[in-house]
Order: sequence, then structure tokens, then C-alpha cells
Amino acid sequence: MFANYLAHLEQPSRNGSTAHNIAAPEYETPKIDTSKNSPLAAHLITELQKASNDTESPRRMELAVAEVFRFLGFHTQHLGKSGEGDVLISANLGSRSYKIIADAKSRQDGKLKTLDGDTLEGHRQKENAEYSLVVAQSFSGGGKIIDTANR
Amino acid sequence: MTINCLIRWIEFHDVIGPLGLDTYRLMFERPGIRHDITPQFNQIIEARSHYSKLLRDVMDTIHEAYQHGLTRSLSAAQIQPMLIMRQRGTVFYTEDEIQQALDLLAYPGIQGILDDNSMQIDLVINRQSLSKILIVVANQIG
Repeated sequence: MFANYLAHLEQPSRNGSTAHNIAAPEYETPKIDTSKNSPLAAHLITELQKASNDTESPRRMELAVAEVFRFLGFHTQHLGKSGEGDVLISANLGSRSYKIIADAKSRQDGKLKTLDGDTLEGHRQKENAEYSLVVAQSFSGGGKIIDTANR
Repeated sequence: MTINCLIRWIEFHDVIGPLGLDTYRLMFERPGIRHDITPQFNQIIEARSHYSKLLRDVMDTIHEAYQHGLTRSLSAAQIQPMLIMRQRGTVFYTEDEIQQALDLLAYPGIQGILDDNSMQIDLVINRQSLSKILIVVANQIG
């Protein structure tokens, strides 16, 4: 039933956009009663928050991101060596499979001010991933970082 | 993606979801900095709610018909007008949707309806029992 519903949402319209792009403004982001978080979810959130400021151990943030995506149902592989992304995230769905290469960025003040688009693209191509993802507490640095993200 | 966005996603998955990985692809399709989960998740949750309500309405409608003396089997096509009358037109379910609900009830792991192989069914559990069966099945899966 859901597959049919989702297919409807993603059906391309005549002008090439998708139905969900058009419908999205009608919906607000979901409201969540966070007091109902499970202990595991609460642990993941705490670790993610702490790791995002822990510049002494960048690996901690990488492992936290991997753990979060495993919790969300993805298969994850921690990479993290020089010249590659930090976490390879895979949705193994047969013909609908997709991969994401993630970079996990920890900063003492929480702000990521620069993004190297070419490096990210290199990581994505190396893993044959469909998407690049950078996780950071916040992004600052004006239009340049937004432009890179939009690419 | 900001940490706050990822946290919202964790909370959504934990408290409201989970949704399938094919749906979660929506989080990556729009380029740019993502500060929150996509509102499109709400559409999926509404669909889930719609189908849950359908199951409840189908079961209640058949039960009410039994209480009013119905003593023969029903098809999806026969249940649809009964549902429309009962809901007074406030909710509309298609015949296909009703058939899908009946298929779920007929699943051997649930055995909520008996089917005589002629597309005519008899409901043999109430919705409280269905709820308990689904919990048992969920626990066995998990």
C-alpha cells in the first residue's frame, strides 16, 4: 500500500518536477513528542551532540554518524582514511539501492565555515555513491558554503 | 545536514516512524544545507493513518452488519457502500483500498477473515483481537 502511495508522490509531473516537490509546501515538518524517545535514541543524540564539538577525536564524530544511520536502518561502513569519505552509508534495496558518502565534521565552536566541493565530489565518485553528505553542528561562512552545498 | 536535523530524524524514526529507506531517500534528493527533516514525511504518516483507519472502519462496519442480523458472506464491492453510509460521506475508501485491507486480514499470520475462494469473506475476529495479533506478530518479527 505504501509503495503505491510513495510512487504517487514521486510521480514526475508534465513540467519535469515531481509531485512531492509541489505538494511539500502544504505540509509542515512533523511534530514529535521527544519525551517518548527510547534510551537508545537518547544515547545516540547525546553522543552526536558531544562528538560534534570534540575536535580532539574526529573519529568519534565519524563513528557517531555511522551509528545513527545504522539506527535509521541503513548499512554503514566506517572509512575515515585520508583521501576518502568518513562513512559509506548504503540503502540495500535491490534495484532501488542507493549509497551516500558522508563526511562528519566536528568543530570546537560547532561551526563549519568551509566546504571543499571538489574533495566531496572525489569521495562520492570513488565510492560510486549517488549522494554526498556533510554532517556538522552548523554551517556558516556565507554564500560560498551554501553554493558548494547546492552543488 | 546539521546535527539538529539529524537529531530530528532520529526522534522521528524512534517516536513516529520508522519509514522505509526508499522514503528516506527524500532526505538526500534536494541539494543544499538541510536544517530539518522533510515535510514530505508527514504525507507518508497521513497515509499510514488513513490505512489504519480503513482497517478499523472495515472491521467495525462488518461487525455492525453482523449485529443487525447479516448471515451471509461479503465482498469488497459490497462493503464499500456500507462504509460510505456509515461514514456519511466524510471518508472515502476505494474498492481497491478495501480489498487491500481484506487481503491483510486474510494473511495466514493473522487469519482475521475466512475466504471461501469466491472473493466472499466472513470476518472472524474483532479489532481488539486484530490489534493483539499484530502486536504478537510484531514481537515475533522483532
